[in-house]
Amino acid sequence: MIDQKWPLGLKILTATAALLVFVAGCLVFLYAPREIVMGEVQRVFYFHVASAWVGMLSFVVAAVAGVMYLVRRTRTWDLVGVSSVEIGMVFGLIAIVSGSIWARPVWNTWWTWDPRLVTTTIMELVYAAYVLLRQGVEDPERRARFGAVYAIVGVLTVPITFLSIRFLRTIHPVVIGSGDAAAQGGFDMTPPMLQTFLFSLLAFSVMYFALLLHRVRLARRAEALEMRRADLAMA
Amino acid sequence: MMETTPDTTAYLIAGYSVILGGLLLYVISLMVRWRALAREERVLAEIERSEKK
Repeated sequence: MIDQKWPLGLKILTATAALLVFVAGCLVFLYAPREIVMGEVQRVFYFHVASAWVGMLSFVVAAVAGVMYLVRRTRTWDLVGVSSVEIGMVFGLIAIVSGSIWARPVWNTWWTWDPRLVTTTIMELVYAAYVLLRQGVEDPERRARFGAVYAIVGVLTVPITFLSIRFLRTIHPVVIGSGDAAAQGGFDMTPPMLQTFLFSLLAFSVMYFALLLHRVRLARRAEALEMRRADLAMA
Repeated sequence: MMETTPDTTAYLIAGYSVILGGLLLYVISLMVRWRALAREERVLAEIERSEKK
């Protein structure tokens, strides 16, 4: 039976995450200077990159959970995996849409078949398939095994997406390291911009772990209910 | 010739609406699913009680 009340640790983590995201928002709008070439839309960058980062982090965590499940065969690792994938998909979608909005005034188009955009979309579709295919497996053990193997293979899309703007010809700017000469919309970060950027990454990372714990609690409750339902049907 | 900074405020608002709106929707979806499970648990408990009688 899952306790309805949040444990103290989860309460503290949730409050910390909310506070950090709020402070990050204040830094984005009140502390970071306006970029002179792109104007106000450049501020989308801070939460856009943080969302993309959480998306990738989620898929890596799902792969680690997959390995842990295959080694330990503990149900909790399967729930961590499926929960992390769901959160990764939400943040991945947010990154794609917010990036498209940023691109409209900067690249003069909502969408272009750039390597970064394509690899991000493929990554998102790979995990959408994970969710759909998982639902088709009835036996919980087989479903968990399938999910674990899929998450381990699927995580290959993360380094491909991350490195696509570093190795392929692209117009997508590179935040850390040097990018392609054809990149459009890049800018030199001033110290306040860099501080805001790093703080946003931290805030979103803490928020990810808070959401993950909430989502795992939800999954555990759903699983417990499923077992009760099965017991009742057998009785 | 001096170039002026373009007014891209509308895109900024749209971008943050998507980011914060998406986050909010996800949190609401977690809450809705949690409540739906609680409702289902209550129904199951009632069925279990009636079966014991």
